Amino acid sequence: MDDLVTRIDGPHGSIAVVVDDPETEKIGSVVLAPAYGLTAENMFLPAYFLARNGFRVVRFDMRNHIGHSSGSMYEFHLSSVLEDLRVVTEWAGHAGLMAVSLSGRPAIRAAAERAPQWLVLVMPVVDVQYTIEVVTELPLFEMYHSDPIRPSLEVLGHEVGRQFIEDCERHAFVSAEDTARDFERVTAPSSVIYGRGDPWVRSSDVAKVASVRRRRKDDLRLQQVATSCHQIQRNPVIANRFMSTATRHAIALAGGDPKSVVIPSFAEVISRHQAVSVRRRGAADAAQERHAGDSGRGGPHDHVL
Amino acid sequence: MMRGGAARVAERGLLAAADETPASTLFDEIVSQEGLYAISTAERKQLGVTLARAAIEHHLESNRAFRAYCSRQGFDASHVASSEDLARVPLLPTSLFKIKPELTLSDDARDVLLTTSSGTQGRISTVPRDDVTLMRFFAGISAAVREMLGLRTQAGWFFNLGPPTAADPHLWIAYVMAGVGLAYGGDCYVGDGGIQFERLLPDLRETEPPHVIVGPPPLILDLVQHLESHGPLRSTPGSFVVTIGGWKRRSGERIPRGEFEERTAAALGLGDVSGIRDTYNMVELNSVLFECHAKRKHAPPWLTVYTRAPKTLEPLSHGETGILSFVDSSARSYPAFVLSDDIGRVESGRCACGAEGDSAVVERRISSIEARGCALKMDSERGSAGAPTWRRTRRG
Repeated sequence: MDDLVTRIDGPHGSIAVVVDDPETEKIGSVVLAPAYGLTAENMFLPAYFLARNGFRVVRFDMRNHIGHSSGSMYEFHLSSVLEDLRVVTEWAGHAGLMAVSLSGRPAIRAAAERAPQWLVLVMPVVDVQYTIEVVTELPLFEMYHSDPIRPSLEVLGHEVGRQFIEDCERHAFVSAEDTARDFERVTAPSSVIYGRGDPWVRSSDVAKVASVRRRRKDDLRLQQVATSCHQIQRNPVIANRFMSTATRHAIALAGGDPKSVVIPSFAEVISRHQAVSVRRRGAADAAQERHAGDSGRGGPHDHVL
Repeated sequence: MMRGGAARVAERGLLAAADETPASTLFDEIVSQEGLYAISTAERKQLGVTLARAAIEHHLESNRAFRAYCSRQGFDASHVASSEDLARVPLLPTSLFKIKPELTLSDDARDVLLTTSSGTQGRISTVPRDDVTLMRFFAGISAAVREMLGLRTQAGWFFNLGPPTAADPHLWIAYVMAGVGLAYGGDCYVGDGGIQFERLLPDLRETEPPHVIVGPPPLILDLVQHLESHGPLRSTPGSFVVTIGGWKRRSGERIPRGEFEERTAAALGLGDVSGIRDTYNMVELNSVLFECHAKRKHAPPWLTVYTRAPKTLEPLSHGETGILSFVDSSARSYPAFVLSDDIGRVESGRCACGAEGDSAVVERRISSIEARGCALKMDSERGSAGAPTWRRTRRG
């Protein structure tokens, strides 16, 4: 885990990327898009489930968001996440794409534009307006039009500028119908894992979006998993439940046997994370010493741990 | 805090009980709910009884020694019909986890992690935790961080001033911080020589708030003293300092909590002391009591707290000072029905923060005389339970 920590720099800014080598015989690669409010580091548990089952995992911090990529959280908008996905999936090469929660929405657009090897959506937000308004308990899209001077909105403790709404409307990221139009264009074999009891995403909306591909008897699998919350990272039991399912689907889509899935214990995940943290700290200390020794000569962006 | 979801808690949980996943229990469903601490007193009591009965039934079925212990006291799960009856649940003294921890392990527990206390108060406690027990512990922490600190995503950067896990991976306080690091990110800034200021201070200055600095009071005080001599941090309103554990070997340096909080708030640029929160946990307990902004340590709905008279172990009324006792329904691999080593009292009623239910006030550690009396009483109740072998275990 954390085998390569690097950056992808481009005209739009800089994306911090973490690559995890497979912990067993390689079955494929996957780009793992984080949920809103989470960073590549916060995605350790999902990444470990995948790496433990033979995937090379490419995690990243979204730009204009918390984390180590460029831009501030205030500037967050979905077109920016879409651009991140374009850049990272191209950089990762032949790979599947797994997206969690809100990042599932731009991931569907990205997959429609350029087919990944496969697509797994975990609790995807398919009706952005509905979810954002349930979360904030405010009619934000209506307020955006009625209150043109309102500068920002608070979403889960983060101050996000009004460009988020503007971007949703300009680029058709608002409704379940918008999502269905994008999903119809996705040709990659796909799995959608969504919550039964998810308070932020209506099952009926997921079913509506999925129906556009089911009509054409596409390679699409749907699976419901019981939950009482949308933020699966709140509860390791629920995270385990979703990631066990998502990993099985990823293995199947990558051509493997889903029955061979290895579900790591939570104690194993903590232990592996501890080991990575210690190694990362050692690397940071060494880099600091090198930096002091080089007295400002600078160095390469990448460091292999 | 309350968003109307709590009314559906029991209903959801009962539905989940029929789910295909073995771990889908009422506990696993409610722990992630919004407004968890604001559940009405009546609903909370009902929930507490339902959870406790399920836990008692599980431990009676899966733990031979606990079954024998309850049998000698004529106790079974049917005796718990109301929240008042939870005071009748036979308790395990912390000494059992020090002397015969193998008696606490469930017969059906698989692949448990042996977590330990620091041993600064005497002998080391060993508590066997399986994966479900561990996951529930961390789900409880996540709930408290969300509801008590108001951090609704994993956005806060955790600055860990706790003991590094590398030194002793079984030490519970260090293991807890390792698990918190997994969920929230962040880093540990304590090495063999104490706090690594050369790493901590730049990170504190460069990382976007909110910051959450977590550590035992003496190490927080070290940081405060360093900042007092070198200049305070810039203002970081919305950030938190969370104290875990006590002063232990550095009890001679202890300062009054009020002074500790004032100095900490000033040095760290917190604005006021509302962001400084204490917690209560011990290795034998599978839940953490987090302080709210009104400085009350709230018990989550799956944890019932009450006090017992030190000499007789009779249950006391709320508000009466005695030995803090816990019926914690979150543990699966051992019965977390614990008689603590702490003297305190239980406060009830609606808190200024909006939380309902009980909170604990910890006054002091139990004295050796009180502990001896208590041990004698427990011994007379414990009798000679058959000792299962210490099996299917691993360390680290």
